[in-house]
Amino acid sequence: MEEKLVLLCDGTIDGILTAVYEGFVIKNQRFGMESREYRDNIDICVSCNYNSYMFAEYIDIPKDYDKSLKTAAAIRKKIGEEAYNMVIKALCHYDEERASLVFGFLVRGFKLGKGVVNMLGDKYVMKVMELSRKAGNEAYRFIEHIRFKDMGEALYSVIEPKCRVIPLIGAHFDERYPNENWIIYDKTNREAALHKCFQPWIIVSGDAFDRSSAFYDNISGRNSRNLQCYEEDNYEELWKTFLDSLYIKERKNERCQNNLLPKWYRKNMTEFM
Amino acid sequence: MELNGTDTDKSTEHMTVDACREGKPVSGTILAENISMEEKLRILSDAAKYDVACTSSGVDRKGNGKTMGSTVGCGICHSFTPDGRCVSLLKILFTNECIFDCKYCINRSSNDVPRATFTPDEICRLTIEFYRRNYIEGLFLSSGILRSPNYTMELMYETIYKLRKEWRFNGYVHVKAIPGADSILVENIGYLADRMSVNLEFPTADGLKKLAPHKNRKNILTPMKEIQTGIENNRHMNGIDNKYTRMEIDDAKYLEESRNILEDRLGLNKYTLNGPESHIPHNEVNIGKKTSLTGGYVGTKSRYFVPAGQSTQMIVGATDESDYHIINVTEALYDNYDLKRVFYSAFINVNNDADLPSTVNGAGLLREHRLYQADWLLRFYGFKAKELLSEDNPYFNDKIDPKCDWAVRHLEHFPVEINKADYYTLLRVPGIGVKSAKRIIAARRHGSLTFDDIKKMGVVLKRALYFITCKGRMMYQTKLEEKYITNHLIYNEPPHSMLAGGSSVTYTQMNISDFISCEDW
Ligand code: SF4
Repeated sequence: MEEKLVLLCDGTIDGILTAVYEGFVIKNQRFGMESREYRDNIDICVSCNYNSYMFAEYIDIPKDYDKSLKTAAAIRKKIGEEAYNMVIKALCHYDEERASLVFGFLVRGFKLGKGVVNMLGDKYVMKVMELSRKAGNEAYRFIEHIRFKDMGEALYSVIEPKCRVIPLIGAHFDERYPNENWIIYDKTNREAALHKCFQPWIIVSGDAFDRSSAFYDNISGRNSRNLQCYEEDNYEELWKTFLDSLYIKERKNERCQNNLLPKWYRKNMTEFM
Repeated sequence: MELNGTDTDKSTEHMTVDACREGKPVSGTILAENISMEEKLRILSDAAKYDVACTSSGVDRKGNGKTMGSTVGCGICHSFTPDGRCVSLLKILFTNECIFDCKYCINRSSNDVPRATFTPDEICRLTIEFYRRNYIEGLFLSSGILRSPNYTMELMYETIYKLRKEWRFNGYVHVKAIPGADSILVENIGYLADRMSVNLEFPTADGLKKLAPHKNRKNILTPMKEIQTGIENNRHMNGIDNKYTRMEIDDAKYLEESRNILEDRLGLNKYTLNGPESHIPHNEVNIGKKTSLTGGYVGTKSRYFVPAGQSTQMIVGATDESDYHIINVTEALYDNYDLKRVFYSAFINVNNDADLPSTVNGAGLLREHRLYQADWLLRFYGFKAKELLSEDNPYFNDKIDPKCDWAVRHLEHFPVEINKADYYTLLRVPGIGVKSAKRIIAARRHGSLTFDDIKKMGVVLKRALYFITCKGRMMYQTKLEEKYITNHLIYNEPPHSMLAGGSSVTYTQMNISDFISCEDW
C-alpha cells in the first residue's frame, strides 16, 4: 500500500510554511531520484488527531521562523508573486486540508515554475486557487464593511470572519490610516491587528494575544454595551441618517440588497446594529 | 446640478416637528443656520441621491504614509441601501437652493421644499469622520445653484481646497462642474479632484430646452470639452500617450503635486481678481478667485488633472429618444469627449409634473439596465452602436440582453471553436466575459479545453452552449436557428420575474460588482 507521512504543525502561516520546508527535505531524502516515485505521500495536518491514517507515520514539526521565511522566499523566487499570493491567501482559509493542498501545489510549482497557476486541470492547483479566492473574497468584504468606532485613543473594530482576514487586510488599512491609532480585533480567530500612528502595523496572535485578550474583550464589551465612559458617537447617527435618506423608495428591492450584502456580514456593521 | 428629484415626505415631517418644538413658524424654507447637522445632512443627501455615478473606481493611489487616505482602482462598496445600490461616497449637495427651474428636479426654484446649505468646513469634517470609520471612500460633491454658477462653484472649490490642504484628505473626490461656471474654476478644481463630471441631462438639445429652460447645451458641452482637454494635456505632460493607460500615482509624485499647487496658490494671491461675481466666503481664505497664469488648460508636469477621468449622466425616459439614439450619443461621448463612464438614470417624476411621463416603473428600470449592458459592450467588447441597433430596430429587446440579441441575429459568425477562436471572437459569444475569455486563452496553451474546463473558468454555459464548440463538438444537439435559440435563452432568463420590485436582482440598479470582481486585489 501507499505509505503516508503526516507532518503535524500548528495552523499559523509560519507553522505551515515550516512544515512545508521540512516536507521538502523529507521528500528529497526519501523520494529522491528514481528509487521511489513521489505520489503525494506527504500530508501536512494542522489540527490532526493521530488516527487520520491508520498506518501513517507522524512527525511533529515545531514552528521555526527562519525556515518559514526561507520557504516564502523560495516560493516568490521560483514560482512567482502570483503563486505566493495564492498560497498566503489559501493558508488564511479555514479548510482543514489547506496545508496538504498547498504542499501538493508547491510540489508541482517547484517543478513547473510560474505556469503552475494556470494548470486548473490539476486537483491541487484548482483547490488552492479556490481556497485563495474564497479567502481573498472574504477579506475584500471586510475591507469594505469593517466599521471603526472612535474610542478616543484609537479607532477600534471587532470582526467575526470565517477565514483569517487580518493578514490580508492589514496593509490596506495601513495605507488608509497612516496617521491614526487603530485596532482590528478578530473574535473568531482570536488575533488582532494593531497600528500606532506613523508606525508599521503588527499582528498579535497566539500566546501574545492570549496574554492580552482581557484587554480586547474588555473594549469589545464596552463597545457593545455602549457605556457612558465614551461620548456617544455622533457620526454613527449621522451615518444612519445619510443611508436612510439616500435610498430611493421607488426602487426598493431588499432581495437585491441581501444578495449584495448577505445578512451574515452585517453583524458588526454600525448601520445594522 | 444633476439631481432630478426626491421624495421629501420624511424631511418635511421632521422639519415640522422640529420647528414646532422650537416655536418657529412652520414654513417650507428654513434658513440654514437654524438646522441641525442631522437635518442638513438629511436634506442635502436626499436631494443628491438620484445621481447614479457613485463609484470610486478609476484611480489607484497609494497612501502617502502621512495623511489619511488612499484610493483603490477597482472601487469599493462600503454598504448597500435597501434599493440595492452601492454606497461608496458621501454623496451630497453643497446646497439645494437653486435659481434655476428645471422641470424634473425637486430643487427647482418654483418648489416649496426645505432648503439647506453646508459650510465648507462642515463638509470637510463630515467627510473625514465618515472616512475614519470606514463608511466611505470619499466625497461626491454636487450642488444646486446659489446666486450664480460662479458663486456656487467658488464655494465648492473652497470646500475641496480645504479638504485637501487643511484637512489633508488623500481619498477619492468627485466634483460636479456647474455648467456656466468660469473655466478657471473648473481647472482649479480639476487639480484637486479625482473625477469630474458635467451632466448631459438629456440626449438631445431639444429635450434639454424643454425640461431645463435655464440650461443650454453649450454650457454643458463647454466644460466637458475643457476637462477633456485638461486631461489630455496633462497626460502628455506626464508622458502618458495611450489614453487607456490608467494613471498610477505614487506618493512622491502626489506630494510633489500637492506642494506645487500650494505654492502656486500662494503665488497667485497677488493676482486675485475681484470681478462682479467674486465673493469672499471667509476673510482669512482668499481662494476661489484666482486667475490662472497659464491662461487655460495647459496643465503642468507632475500635477494630475482629474486622474480618474470624466463621467456624465443622462436621464432616460423623460423625453422620447429611442435606445438607438441614446447609444449613439453615448458612443459619441466616449469617442469625442473621452469619457470614462456614461451613467443612465431612469426618470422619476418627483414633481408629479403633468407635462412629464409618470414615475419609473419596471419597464423604465429594465430599459436602464439594457442601456448599461449595451454601454458595457461598447466600452469593453469592441461593439459599435450601429451593430447593436438601427433606425429600423431602435429599441433593445426586453426579453434577451443586447449581446444575446446581437448573436441570434448574426448566426453566420457561429459556432465558435473555443480552442481556436481569437480573443475578440470569444468576447462576442454570449456567456463569455472579459475575464473568462482571457482565462481561456491562457489555459488552452496547456492543452485543449472541454466544456467542463471552461465552466470552471466562469463561462456561463446556459447562454454560451448554443454558440460554441469544444474540440469540434457542440455541448448538446442544438439548432443554430434564431427562433429556437431565442426561445431557449428567454426560457433561461424569464423576464417577468426580474422586473424591479419582483423577485430577482437582475434588472435592478446596475452596480460595479456585477462587472468587476476584485478578487485579484
Ligand atoms: S440647476 Fe437647479 S433646478 Fe436644475 S437640476 Fe440643478 S439643482 Fe435642479
